[in-house]
Amino acid sequence: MIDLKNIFKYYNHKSQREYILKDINLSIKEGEFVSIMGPSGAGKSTLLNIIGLLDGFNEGEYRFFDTEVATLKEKKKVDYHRNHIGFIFQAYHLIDEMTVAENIETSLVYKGIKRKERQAIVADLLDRFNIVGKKDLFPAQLSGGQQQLVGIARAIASKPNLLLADEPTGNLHSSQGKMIMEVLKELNDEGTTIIQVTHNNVFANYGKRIINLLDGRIEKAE
Amino acid sequence: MITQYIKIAWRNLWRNKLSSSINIVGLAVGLGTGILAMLYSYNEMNYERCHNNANQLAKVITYGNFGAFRQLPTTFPQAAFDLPEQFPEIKNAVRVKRISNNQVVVFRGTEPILENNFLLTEANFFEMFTYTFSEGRYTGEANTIILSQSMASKYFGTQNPIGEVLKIEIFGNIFHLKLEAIYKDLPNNTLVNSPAIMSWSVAKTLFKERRGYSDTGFDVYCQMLPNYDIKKLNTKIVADYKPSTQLDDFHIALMPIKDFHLKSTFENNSANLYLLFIGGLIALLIAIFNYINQSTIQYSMRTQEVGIRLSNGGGRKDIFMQFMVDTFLTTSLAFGLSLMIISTVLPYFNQLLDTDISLNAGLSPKLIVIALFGLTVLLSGFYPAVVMSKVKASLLLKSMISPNLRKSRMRNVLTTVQFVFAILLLQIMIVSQRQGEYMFNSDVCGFNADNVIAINGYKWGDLNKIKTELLRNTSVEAVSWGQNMPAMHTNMTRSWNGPNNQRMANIFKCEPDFLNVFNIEIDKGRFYRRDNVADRSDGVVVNQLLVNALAWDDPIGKSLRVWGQKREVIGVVSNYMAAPPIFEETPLIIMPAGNQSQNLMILVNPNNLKDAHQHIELVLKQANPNYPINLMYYNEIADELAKTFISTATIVNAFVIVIIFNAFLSLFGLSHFIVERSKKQIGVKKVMGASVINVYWELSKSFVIRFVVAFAIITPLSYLFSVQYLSTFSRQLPLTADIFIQSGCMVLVMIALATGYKIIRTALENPVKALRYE
Ligand SMILES: Nc1ncnc2c1ncn2[C@@H]1O[C@H](COP(=O)(O)OP(=O)(O)OP(=O)(O)O)[C@@H](O)[C@H]1O
Ligand SMILES: [Mg+2]
Repeated sequence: MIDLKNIFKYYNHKSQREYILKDINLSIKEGEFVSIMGPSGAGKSTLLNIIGLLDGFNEGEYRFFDTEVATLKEKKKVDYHRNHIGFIFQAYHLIDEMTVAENIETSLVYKGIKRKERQAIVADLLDRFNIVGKKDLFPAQLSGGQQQLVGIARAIASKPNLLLADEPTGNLHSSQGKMIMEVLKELNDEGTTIIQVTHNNVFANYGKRIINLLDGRIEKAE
Repeated sequence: MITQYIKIAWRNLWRNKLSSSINIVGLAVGLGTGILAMLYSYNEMNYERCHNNANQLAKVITYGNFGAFRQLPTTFPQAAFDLPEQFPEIKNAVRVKRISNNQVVVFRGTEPILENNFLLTEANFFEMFTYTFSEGRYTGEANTIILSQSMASKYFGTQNPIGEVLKIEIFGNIFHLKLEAIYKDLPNNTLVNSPAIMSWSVAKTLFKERRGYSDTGFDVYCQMLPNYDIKKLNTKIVADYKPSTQLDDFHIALMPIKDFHLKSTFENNSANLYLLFIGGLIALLIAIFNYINQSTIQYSMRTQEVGIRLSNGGGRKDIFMQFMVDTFLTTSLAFGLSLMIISTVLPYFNQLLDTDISLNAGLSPKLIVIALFGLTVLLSGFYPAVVMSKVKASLLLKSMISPNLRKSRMRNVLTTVQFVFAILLLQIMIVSQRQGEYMFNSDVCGFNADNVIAINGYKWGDLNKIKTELLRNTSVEAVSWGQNMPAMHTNMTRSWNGPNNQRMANIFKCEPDFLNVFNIEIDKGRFYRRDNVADRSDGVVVNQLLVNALAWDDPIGKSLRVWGQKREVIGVVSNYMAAPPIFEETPLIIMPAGNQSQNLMILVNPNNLKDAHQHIELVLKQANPNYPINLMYYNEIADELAKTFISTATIVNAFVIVIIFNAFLSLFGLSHFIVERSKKQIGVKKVMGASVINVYWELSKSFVIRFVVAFAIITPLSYLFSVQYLSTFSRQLPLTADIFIQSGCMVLVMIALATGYKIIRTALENPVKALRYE
């Protein structure tokens, strides 16, 4: 489902060219759970951005569901974001001015799903993550773990096939982190493809495959 | 989706109360100014729309050489007979006389009340102009009158007044007029607006010349056949119609009444219109600029939200829409506030400009208001929304996003432009205000009219007796009477320097003590005196300009032929400002007036005003109990006469204040934001030992630099502009550097005030708090 071939990404700094990703070759099949590890500044987030169609690349070839990304229209990308890709962030990135329920239904609103149906989906998710009581609270009123649960609920509300998580447990206590990882594992068991970035060895092992990124290169693929 | 946008926009508004209120207040003031200006323009451009036949109506105007003027808005009465007879396109014409200058006295019971602008017309007037009668029936029979509704209720309250008789005095004639009908008040934007219309029989008593060519003080209106061609008709009239008068270069033409208000040269209405139209638009545009400036800053805090939305499937269009909704909400609130502002300001505005503008007068004004609202939403929202819809989603995944104030060229330019406007407007305002004061400073204009009361001089019999009576009270310091008051009136004549003279001189009549009332200097010789009969029958007083014009070395005793009579110069007065400032300085001739004249002028002691008023009223009441006493100070009359000038100046000042207020708001918002963003930095710097002054300078430096740039750009331009402006006056204010420095200081103070409070408060805060807070 994801096929990266000889991907390069660089920024031009005045006259100098700084490579962030160098010759990335990676393919990920549906149903996989991949962990990406590596030191800070290695390019993990950048790679995830490219996979998630949020950022472009300079050289190479990227096929997503058998379509060439370089030629993808803006409209099609928006469609992928609505229906096929979900994001989870280290800093949760909930919208402060929206309640828990409103945050969760963000992508459903963009998809144009009717209110009744949206409410049903949101109720299911709240129930699943045991946060029914928090429905009308604002993000600032939740604990970090709870916020991340909302983040996950929002990411999977539109039932994406691909879930991208950038250090989802980075800001959490290890017990809360563990809970989040269990949720991800469960989702993977249900068939969702997951790619996560993590600095934690224990959590990395939830993945069935670990990729090490060092200075923009894939170090060893197991 | 839209409801969700509104909900979020509302929460954002509520959370950033300070910046939201800055945006709302700024836009409200801008919108209010814009809406008022547009409503005014609409009112001005729709003159005479209240008459069904307006397209076929025209007023006769007269061209010729009338001293200072080349055109008159009135004409001779014969035109009303000749024109329909000679030109088949003209199917109807009517003579109208307007009695202005408070010359009508109406008696409510025994109480005399001064009234203005009564009309005298013939019956066919109502075939041409549209009046709606609410009571009674108009016939135009001899000695009848009709009143507007507001006038009827002033004199008769709620009772049915039809058939009642009103006692009216005009020019010393008493009329008893029967009230025939009552008409609905006309809007202000028509030439024939009047509180009362009297039948033509009254004109027969008042005016000897109701035909012929010699009195050019009549309003003559013509009604043409539909689809006439005004240019062709006027060409024919000028070519074929020769009024039989001695004056050459004398002719008449028609001006469509719909054009009269704006296109005639008799008032500066179109200048006012342009000024308000352009000023209102600029004020609105500046408010919109500000909004754009402020909201792009605020939105830069929301790039993260945009990233989240994009990664959740939001399209660019959705983001654009969301931020447009945001602006829509802010603008709606501003709109509501602006409507409140307008309804508060409207009464003053209407009074100032002599209009009766209202927000709910028909469909078109409402459409204008709504269109302005829509336009404001679009113009203010578009740029920020586009900027936001272009935010890169990838920014989001960087683990630390701090939306910082990116250096924006757009914002720099906007701020500098605002400074430029503020400085320019202030400088113009200071120059015009100082010129106004300078001109009427007694050292410059040569007279002092403070504490001079003026009153109609014809109603009290022999004024010599009145003068003696008035001076019995010590609170009255000097009394005189005459035709003209300084800087207020003028009569021009050529008849003073031989038969072939082309040069105009200003001439008027007055009596002894005129110079004392106005504190005017006499340079040589003597002025008229009560006891010197010979001077008054054969002498004449002139000013220095006349002496220069005739190149006399020793003017006293020289002879001068005035109005065909030889007189001997007895005195020379200073070149005080005898005519209004719009006239060139001309030679002046002062003649004796006799027992009565237009204006009775009384200089009173300012420490004893109450006494003086009481005494004057007592004396005048005794002289004539049947005339209302209306004490007006020279300065009040001058303000009334200069009303259009003053209203123009007031409007300019209002625009300046609105624009500067907006600049102030935006600076306030900008500095607030900058300080909020740099709280941590300020904390760190203070820990490193920076003083409050250091911090203040660092944060406000960029504003000061932009101010200096703006000042350097605009001051030379505004200097040139001021020179141009001043060159239209005969007594010019010397342009000194302090005018420009003063305006600069004012803007600097504004900058310091707008930026200072927040910066200093933050700089004084305990740095540890700011650091912990982060
Ligand atoms: N817009 C940009 N311009 C220039 N350089 C950039 C830009 N964005 C990222 N970089 C650089 O790319 C490199 C990789 O960044 P990236 O965020 O992918 O690292 P990371 O592996 O996710 O690190 P971390 O573990 O700290 O999150 C960094 O050296 C960063 O400085
Ligand atoms: Mg990262």
